[in-house]
Amino acid sequence: MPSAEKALPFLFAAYTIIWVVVFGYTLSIGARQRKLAQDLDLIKRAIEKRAAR
Amino acid sequence: MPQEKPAVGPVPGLRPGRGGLNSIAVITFVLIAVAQYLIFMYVPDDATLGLIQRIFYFHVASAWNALLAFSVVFAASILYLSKGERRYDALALSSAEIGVLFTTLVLITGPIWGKVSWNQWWTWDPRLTTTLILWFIYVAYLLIRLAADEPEKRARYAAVFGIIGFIDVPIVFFSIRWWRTIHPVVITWQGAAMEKSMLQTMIVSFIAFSFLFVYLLIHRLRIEAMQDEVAQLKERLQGSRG
Amino acid sequence: MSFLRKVGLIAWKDLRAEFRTKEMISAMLIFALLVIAIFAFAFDPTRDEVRVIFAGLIWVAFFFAGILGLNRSFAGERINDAIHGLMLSPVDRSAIYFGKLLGTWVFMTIVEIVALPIFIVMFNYTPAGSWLLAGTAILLATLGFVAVGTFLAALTANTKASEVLLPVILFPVVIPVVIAAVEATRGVFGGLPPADFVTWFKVLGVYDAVFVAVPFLLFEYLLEV
Repeated sequence: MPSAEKALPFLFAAYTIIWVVVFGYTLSIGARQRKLAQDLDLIKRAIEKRAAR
Repeated sequence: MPQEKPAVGPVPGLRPGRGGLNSIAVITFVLIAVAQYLIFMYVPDDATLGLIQRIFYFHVASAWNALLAFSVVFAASILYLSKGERRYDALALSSAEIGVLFTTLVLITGPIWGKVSWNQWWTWDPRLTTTLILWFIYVAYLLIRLAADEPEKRARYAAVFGIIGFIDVPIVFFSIRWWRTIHPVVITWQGAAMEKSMLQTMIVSFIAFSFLFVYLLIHRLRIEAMQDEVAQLKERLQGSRG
Repeated sequence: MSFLRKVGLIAWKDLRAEFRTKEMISAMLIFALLVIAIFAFAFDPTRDEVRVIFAGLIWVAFFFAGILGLNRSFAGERINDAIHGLMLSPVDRSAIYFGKLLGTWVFMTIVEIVALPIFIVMFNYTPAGSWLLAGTAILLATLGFVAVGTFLAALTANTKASEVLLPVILFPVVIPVVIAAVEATRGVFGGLPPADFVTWFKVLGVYDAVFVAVPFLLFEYLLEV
């Protein structure tokens, strides 16, 4: 059975990777949403401008 | 020709608002925190495998999420082909992406365990090998979506592949398992009967990860809904120019 | 016109076109031989250990050659947009699938029949066992490969980077065929008792049944205009 000292860094690495990946994905979704919200905003304003003519 | 309606919630009538998603996020966070606590403070070291066995809980929970995700892809693909509604396509894509994410996690945590327990990064263990093929199949699914131009064609081709890929999975699993019995590998995951506290922790991990899956899915679906809105508004904008 | 007759006509069209030029079959054959030659240089063919992996080597060669054939099965239709001509003709969509499948299956089998004796000679391999069993295994495995392959080739034919995409989406799905083909061939050629490898024939049987039926059901979704 591998010793706890040898295993600990690997265990830590495994859980860290899980967290980085899941968190990273969540953040990337958030970033994509923010960009889309900006685009939506731009388009809505363009439509309003057009309607105002 | 199938009607292109904009993506709404994954289930008819269910459209979680900002508040809804936040509640799910909070519950997910709490459950995961509890699971982490149980994993590191509550369960004892495994008698034979030692400290590294603690990877097991989130490793298996990730595999569960992957399977869950791909089942959703399968169902959504069938629904899309039969009904042609855009929301099923959005659901399939979002679920596939998340599925690949969790499959990748399984493929990363598995070898870490292997390295510590048997000093081998990759053993051709049937379950891990099947997971590898699973990864390839659903990456292929995502690549198909990149390769097709028109959104309607893209959705159709992906849906068709989503069905084929999922049906293939059990066949792949059994083939690899029989293959491995002919060329046996001493090293497998053989989980001994689990102690009660380990079982409890496992269940909590499963529930926590299920909530995580739902949270990520809804969060990801938002992107599809927003993209559809942008496309619709762009059309209106271009229409009004005429 | 009966369904079978339509299937036969489509297959016959492809077979006749190919036999006029024999372009594709020769390319497939040369490619298979090249793969084996590369293996020969990579793994000294005179060593006994190489005999052990003979079954694996020939199937690698066959599958890679098969991909060539699959890529071409719908490529021909892209010229002159012939695929639309096919679709407009009063033919049940799935007849196109079976017709193409049949044609490619014949091509791949011809390549295998020609290449296998050459491989046996190149590696000084002495296959044991019944040729009937070996032939059955080869035919079943080729069918499974071509069944999914034709379907996915039709899918990728209309996409960008289609030649690159096809192997990427095909190989994960045909893994069971790869495993079963190699194990069945190994068992037969190795003279092992049938009980040892009958499972693999079953796997091929199940795979073929499933992956001829499912594409048959889904093919119309690929060809919607």
